[in-house]
Amino acid sequence: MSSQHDCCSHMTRFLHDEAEAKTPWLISKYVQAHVARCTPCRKTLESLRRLLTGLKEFRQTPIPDDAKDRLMNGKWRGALTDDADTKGN
Amino acid sequence: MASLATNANSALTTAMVVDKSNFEAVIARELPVLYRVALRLCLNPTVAEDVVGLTLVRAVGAWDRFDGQYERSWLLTILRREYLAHIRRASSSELSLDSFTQDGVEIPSGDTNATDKIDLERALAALDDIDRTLIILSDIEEMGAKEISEITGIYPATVRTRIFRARQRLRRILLSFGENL
Repeated sequence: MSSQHDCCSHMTRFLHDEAEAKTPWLISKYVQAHVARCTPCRKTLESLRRLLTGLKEFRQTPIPDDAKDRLMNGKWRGALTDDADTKGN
Repeated sequence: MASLATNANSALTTAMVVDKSNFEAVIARELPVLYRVALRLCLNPTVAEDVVGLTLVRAVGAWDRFDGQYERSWLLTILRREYLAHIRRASSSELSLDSFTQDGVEIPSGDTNATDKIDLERALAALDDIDRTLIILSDIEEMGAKEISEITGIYPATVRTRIFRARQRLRRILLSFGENL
């Protein structure tokens, strides 16, 4: 990628969809055929796949146990109790 | 008559108990997502916890009005509102990259994979608010365009295009870090 691999402008959406594995079968075949002969688009697709793989790993970020405890027992719980008491009366 | 009133009161109490347990169950289920999104948005675990805490208070207050569908989108909409309110209040220094790398993540040394991950964290942090939100919701949380539209208020037809552009900017930032993308 020169700076962004300068992929073909008409391929942008297809490349993003393909990187997300969201392209229908026929369009996927078209994208594969295109990237086989177009280096900038191939590099863009590879780059997008690496990027999305890296980003997906962030889903593994756990919530720390102490933060979880504080949040599960936070002010909202009092508001819930107050609300129930008000309605109950 | 008294019996009718007692029965009605009893039914109301039962309904409230159900609501309460539902809310708790929803929060228990969605808390990891809320925290993860808040952390990436706020770039600081302490601030993220505050924003999630405020989100839960607002959510419990609005629980009666919630239609019961798409709880994640509903909670994330509130969270995003709380986050925007926070950045209006906060000084810009609180949202700097330095605070993120000092408090947000621990940087291990000598681990290429970890270094890549840190670069990606930093690049994500360097995006503007809306681009970062789009990447978080789309590429980390894997939410659909419709849900993202509801959360961000971006017109549904333009969500995908905005995501593509956000990714382009993210890649540009990574390149500026010398990442071999």
